[in-house]
Amino acid sequence: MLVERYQRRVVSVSYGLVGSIHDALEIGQEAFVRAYKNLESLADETRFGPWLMKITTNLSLNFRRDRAAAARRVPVELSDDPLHNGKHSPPGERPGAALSASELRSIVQDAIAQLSAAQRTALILFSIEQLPQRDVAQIMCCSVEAVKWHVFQARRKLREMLRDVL
Amino acid sequence: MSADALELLSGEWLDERGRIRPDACTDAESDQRGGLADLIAEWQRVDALVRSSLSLDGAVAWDCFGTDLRVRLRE
Repeated sequence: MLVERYQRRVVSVSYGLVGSIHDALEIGQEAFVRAYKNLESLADETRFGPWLMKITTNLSLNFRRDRAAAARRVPVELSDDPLHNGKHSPPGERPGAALSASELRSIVQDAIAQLSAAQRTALILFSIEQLPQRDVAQIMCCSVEAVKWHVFQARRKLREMLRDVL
Repeated sequence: MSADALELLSGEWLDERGRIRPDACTDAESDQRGGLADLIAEWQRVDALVRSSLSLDGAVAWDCFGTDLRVRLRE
């Protein structure tokens, strides 16, 4: 079944983009529903995977944009995400202190959140989900060269931001 | 050569799909333009750190996901 084949990747991509497992699951459900309702618009059924990833990516980026706009109106202080609730201090303030898994996860996700949308998307789809650059370019509506550049910039920024934990 | 220029050159250690080859470090270490090995190794550590931080292992009940989705598709 298509859902079983793609559900993990859909939710994983969304999680990487929105940073909340609860929201990623909701977006994942919506992505499948939209794909189901718009199947007739898919010209080449062999491209279902990239097409579904494009729907997922667009929904996730739209959600993130809307959430950012809402946060500017009402500041959110605590995350209710069980995978993203590790309170942490900046690594530089705790020399020699061992980081817990949840602290490390939180630090990395904070760093990912500071990437541009294009850098974050390219990194998640290419480096993490290991989609071919051609597919990532199609999903992001840009050239393969642009994908390479966004991944390069994302890795470089993360390397700088995560230097203390690498 | 600047660090930026070195990083841009490191594409030769990518495979045909643009990913860092598993043997990239070995090749890079023997290369005369030292420094690339460290850079590529850092990229690999960045990717590994991001991948582990975004892992969904054990966090999702996939059976429930499928069940919920079937309900939504019937609506």
